[in-house]
Amino acid sequence: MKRLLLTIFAVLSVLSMYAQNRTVSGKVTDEFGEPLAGATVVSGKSYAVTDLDGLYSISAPDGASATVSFLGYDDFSFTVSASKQDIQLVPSEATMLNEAVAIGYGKTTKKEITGSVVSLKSDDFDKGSFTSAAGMLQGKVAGLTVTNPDGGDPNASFELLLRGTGTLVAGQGPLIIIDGVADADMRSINYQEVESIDVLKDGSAAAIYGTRGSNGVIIITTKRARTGQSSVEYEGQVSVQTVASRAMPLNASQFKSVIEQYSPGNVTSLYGSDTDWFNEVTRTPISHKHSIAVSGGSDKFSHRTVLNTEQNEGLLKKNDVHKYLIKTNIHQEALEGWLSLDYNLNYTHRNYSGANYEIFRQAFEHNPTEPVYDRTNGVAGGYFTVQNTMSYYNPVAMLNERENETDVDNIGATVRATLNILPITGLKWDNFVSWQTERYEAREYSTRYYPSLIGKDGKAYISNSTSSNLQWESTLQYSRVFGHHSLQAIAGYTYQQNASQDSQLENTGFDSDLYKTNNIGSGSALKEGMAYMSSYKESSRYIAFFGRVMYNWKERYLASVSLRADGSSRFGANNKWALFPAVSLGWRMSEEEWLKDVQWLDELKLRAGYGVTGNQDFANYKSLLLMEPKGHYYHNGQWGSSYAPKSNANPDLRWERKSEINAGVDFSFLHSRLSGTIDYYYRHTTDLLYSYKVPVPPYDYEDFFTNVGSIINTGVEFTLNAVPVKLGRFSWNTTVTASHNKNILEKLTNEEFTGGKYKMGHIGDPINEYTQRMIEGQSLGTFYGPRWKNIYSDGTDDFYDSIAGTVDEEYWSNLGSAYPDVNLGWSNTLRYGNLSLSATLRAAIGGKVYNTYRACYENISRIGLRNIIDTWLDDTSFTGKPQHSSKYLEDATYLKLDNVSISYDFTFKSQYLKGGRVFLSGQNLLCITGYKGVDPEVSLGGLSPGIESTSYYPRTRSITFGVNLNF
Amino acid sequence: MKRLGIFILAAGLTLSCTNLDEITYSSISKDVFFSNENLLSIYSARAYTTLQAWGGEQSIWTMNLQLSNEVVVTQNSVGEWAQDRYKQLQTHRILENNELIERSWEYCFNGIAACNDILYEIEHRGSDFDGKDKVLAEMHLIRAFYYFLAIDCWGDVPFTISKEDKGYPKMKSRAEVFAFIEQEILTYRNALSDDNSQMYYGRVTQGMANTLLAKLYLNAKEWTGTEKWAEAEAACKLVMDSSKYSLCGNYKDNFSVHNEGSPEAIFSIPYSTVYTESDHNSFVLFVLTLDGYLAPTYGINKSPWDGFIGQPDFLASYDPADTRKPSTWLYGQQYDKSGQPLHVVVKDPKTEVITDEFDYIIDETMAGYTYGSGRRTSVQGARLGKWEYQTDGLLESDQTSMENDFHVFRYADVILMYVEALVRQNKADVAAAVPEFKQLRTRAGLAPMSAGDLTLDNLYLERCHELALEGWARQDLIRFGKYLDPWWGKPAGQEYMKLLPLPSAKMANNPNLKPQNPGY
Repeated sequence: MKRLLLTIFAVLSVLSMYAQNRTVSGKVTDEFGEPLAGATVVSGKSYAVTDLDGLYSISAPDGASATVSFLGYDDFSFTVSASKQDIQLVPSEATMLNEAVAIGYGKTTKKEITGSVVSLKSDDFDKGSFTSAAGMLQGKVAGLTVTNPDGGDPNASFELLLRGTGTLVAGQGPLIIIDGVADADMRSINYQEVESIDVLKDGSAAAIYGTRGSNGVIIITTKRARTGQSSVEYEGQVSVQTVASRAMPLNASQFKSVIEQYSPGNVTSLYGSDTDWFNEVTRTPISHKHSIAVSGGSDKFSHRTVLNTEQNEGLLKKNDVHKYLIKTNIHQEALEGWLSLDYNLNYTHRNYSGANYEIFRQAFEHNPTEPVYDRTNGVAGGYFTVQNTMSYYNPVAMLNERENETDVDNIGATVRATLNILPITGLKWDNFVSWQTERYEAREYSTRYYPSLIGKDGKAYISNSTSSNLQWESTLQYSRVFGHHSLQAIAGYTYQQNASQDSQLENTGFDSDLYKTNNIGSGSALKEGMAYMSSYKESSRYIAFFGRVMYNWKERYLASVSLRADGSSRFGANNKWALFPAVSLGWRMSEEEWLKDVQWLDELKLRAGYGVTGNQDFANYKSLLLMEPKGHYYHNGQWGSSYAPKSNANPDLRWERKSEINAGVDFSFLHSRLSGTIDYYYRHTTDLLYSYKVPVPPYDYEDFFTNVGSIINTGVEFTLNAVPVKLGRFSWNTTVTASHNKNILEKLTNEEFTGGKYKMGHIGDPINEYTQRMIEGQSLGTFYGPRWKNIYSDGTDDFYDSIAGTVDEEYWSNLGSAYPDVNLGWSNTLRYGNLSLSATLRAAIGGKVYNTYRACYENISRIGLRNIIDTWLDDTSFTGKPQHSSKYLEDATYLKLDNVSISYDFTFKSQYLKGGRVFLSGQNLLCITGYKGVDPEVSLGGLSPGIESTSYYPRTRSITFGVNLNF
Repeated sequence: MKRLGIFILAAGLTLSCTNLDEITYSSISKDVFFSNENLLSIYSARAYTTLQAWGGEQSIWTMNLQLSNEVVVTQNSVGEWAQDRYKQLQTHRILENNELIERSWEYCFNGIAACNDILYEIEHRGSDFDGKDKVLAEMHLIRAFYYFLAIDCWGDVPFTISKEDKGYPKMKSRAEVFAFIEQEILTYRNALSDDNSQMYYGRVTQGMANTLLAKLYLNAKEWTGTEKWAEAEAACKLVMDSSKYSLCGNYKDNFSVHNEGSPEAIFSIPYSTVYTESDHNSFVLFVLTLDGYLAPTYGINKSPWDGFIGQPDFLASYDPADTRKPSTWLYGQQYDKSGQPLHVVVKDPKTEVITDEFDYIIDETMAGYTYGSGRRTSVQGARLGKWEYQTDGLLESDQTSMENDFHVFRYADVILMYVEALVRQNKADVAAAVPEFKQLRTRAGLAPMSAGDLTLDNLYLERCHELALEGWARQDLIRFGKYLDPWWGKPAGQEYMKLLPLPSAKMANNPNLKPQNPGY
């Protein structure tokens, strides 16, 4: 093989000697005649880059062809014949409009799209370190809120919320499709491998996904096999993190003086040490990631293989995540153009020691005058321990005396076989089969010194689960242009089967801590009947038939109609199938004769669509009456087992149904210097699922899960892309996204179903109150409570409408909603030649956040055993018992500098190293807010949004240095 | 052509994959139970297991105890049991959201729902097996028992007996439900077994049906305005003439740890320390009444809650010769495990310094204590001691059930109902001559009652002392016209208090559940 290569190389070298080389030079300019720096000129193996003045010089054989290319401009080719060749490039206005956009079961172009779809390419993403690809979407898509409620946890998942909360208890997250695989986990891919992300926002676009489209659809395409020379890419990065902000408890000296001055009864709680519990359990984490990708091949056969490893440290000690990933994509053409095959194989292994968030709470409230260790305390393993306390544990002992390790393996294989039915132009039959499986094993061992388990002699816990997802999609696609008529049609069937099973083992009472989880049967609790064992299995099936026709005339009048019939095993027997229609229309005014001559106008398109989607993201078996073993009865002189219902049958149970109207404008001016999109939507979700209290009889069980309520979300989204400055080698690209959403819970009950849980937002000890109410006609996440007036002279809170220091719930006021009025994102890239600087800012305006730290800890009555928050020192006049009120509700407005990156792209003329990039990136650098808590950006999902948690894993600020090399 | 064939084949395959039935693995769907008789009997077991909630902390039984003049729950020596729910019951000033009222409601209506469901399924599944009619009749009678308890507590109640009924149950008057219960018993009693052997222990038999009928008729005047004393007499007579039951030689044998062999047991809820172990189905009297000082006497490893005590006036109402008083209550000097008089020494846990020391002598008169005046002492108030406390050391948690079974219907009750029915028909002379009635009196260490002694007041007291703590006192107080009288810790009541409020939580779920009983 090697010899063959050498021979070919030799022959090529000889051949090249026969052609006469000529040196061509010239100037490359843009459409205005300004020089273009950094344009590449390629001819054969020769290669040149224009300098600051747009000048180039290249040596190439006479008669050879050369190509000039520059990002954003059409390629220009010429034949080498003269020694001087000036070139004026034409901006590829069409590139943007011709960009492929994934729309689910197919692709279209940006100009032909009629729904609300946002398409992001790898260039649009921030550089840096992310726990999942979702992090790269933060602030990039108008209407999509991406929040990481788990702070700096290296294992964190992001919470995605598109166009407001449209459900009560069903899933809120968009449908994630990665390389065709539905319901995929974004953590099972390497975010650096993402080539593009398409977000289907409105109902008409998502309706092709039927009962899974209500929360929007995110289609992720990873880098695919590529034809051409073999290339090897290396990416490496290292990052270091520090705490961005955290709630500060009193330090030891403050604690001592506060107790002595304000709470002298508690001087027995002064132990004389000076411990910073937060520092005891945290560290400065350093993480690194490496990946190598090899790709190449011919038109008939190409591949791309990636090896990736990530070693991530968490802020919390012992909290580590290791990730290994192998992925291969192979593309093959066979049977003389009849058959295209695309294989994907991926294996991801994650090994992690998860974080116990409770440690952060314990570290916060732990008495700073306690020492960490007490060598004389043998019972507690040498940790300092205060006796007879409830839920108060030495955080260092919690950290050291428990080990947990989880292994997760994701294995996936997909094949896409496309049969091109050549006799009929544009007809193909596409089959996609995917098999994904996940194996999970968690092992946790708490030693005999784990604080809450002293006396149990160690506790071992093993949990196993496996899940699988089989998918088959078969579509018949037809696409053809007849003169001015362009038609794209698809009809398909999809089948998906999910199954999962798990088992848990737990035992205590071990002779030695050395066994850990490796001899779980030896614990004495098993013999005493106190060990625990369980297993569970479930499966579900999902089937759909769908079709879509997209038509346009002269790319001027556009229309798309789709229909999907969805069936799910989760639905009740009377409602197994659902129909989801959608229609959308577009009018590209800029293609009209009367606008065609307007030079500055590239694109002006009006769009309108209506689509129905559903949500079936709820647990299996909800429509069935299930029986569980409950108690025993005496029968024929013996005790036998008895069963009782644990749920009611609901044969009418069905999907939540969302109908959405979307209207939008896409525009582009001045050769794409300014472009953007405005969308308005009205989404009405009906048949909301909720659990209601029902009378028994006629029901068999007191809770009934059924479709009753409705929610309306209306909003406006705005995206503007601009190139405000483009001077020579310098350019500034900027993108602004803005969105506003209004949420209304239209209906929650009806005549039949009235009883349920409508109080939300529970705050624990010492507040012990539900702070939010679900009320028809108002937004979800609306806080209710007494309006705080001031601090009364006796040190207690005074409220409006209060009687004897409290306000009856009947007189509570609406204190505002947790949802922000406006979300803003602002991304900027400044380029000078190969150097680029990017900055991303994100802001939320309005909305309330519950300052739980203040509510629970800004309170002198709590000091003693436990610590309080240092902000109490700002106003020491409050000495009463804390009660829920507007006092603890604050404005959640913030502005964050999410990311600043500086990168330099370099190219080499070397045969081996073609180019690369180095970058330095800072994430979560700055937060400007009036909020007095830790971070106003809290979880907005679920039915209790806007509440800051006190078991909070702090967000971190991170600095990442990265290198990419292309061989 | 070949390709076309493949295409058609695939399309056919596609269309065939449209089955969307759910497959369960870790839960059982109802259908499973109707495949054989054994599983069917497990399915119908639910009607019986719902009965077991009788003996819990917040149950219809404890509610009736607290509403009567027998038992009071008052703040104990460490300040517990001061919740408003107990005070409401003691003073008969009850709010619609009282937890015990709600639990009692659930007891009745969960039971009715279970019976409705089992009846519906057995009748509609077309399954046929030996003894099917017997099982059906048992379900009808258990449902009748639940409706009987419900009209006793609330008067008019929501009514449904068929799973095919559309919509939420609508209210039916007490008289209508009364007629329904009567009809059900008359229709199904002959299909029941008349066997009271171990085989049918804990199950519904003809004896249970006739006793329920007797109880129904006995309360007919109060509930419907129409007297049915003769019918009550006849129903009792059927039980007596069946010769299946007799009085125990020893009163205490009815309440012993292993009381399942009592010849007085007509309808019992069997309990087991091993099998009825959770909070919704166990008999936990020990934890409700005993305190930490008394627990070691019985080998109880868990510190009980020290709540339920006897009302002093009730304790005082016994004839000094009545042996049922010491058989029902713990008072006076208590003894430790070895039989020595119990002497309590209280020490500070840290310093070991003795802080208190006293002889454990329970003062059943609660001298110096009035209801609502704060904490009583550890030795004030007789403890409930009718059911023998087991000393095997197995009572270790709050939820562990005592082994004693609860005889809901007991032969002595039938005798007393028979006597009452006769007395109310002015046949006191016949009543006085009933041999079992005489036996019942002598068993208690008392002389038989003469016809002259047999006034309603005396008969009422006899019922009080024979059936104390068995759950019938509230019904008796109402029937004998004494429920509205003031008694220890309770002011005089008003007519409306004879009915309990419909629980507000249940009214919120069923719009047909109205109107609220007057006065609430």
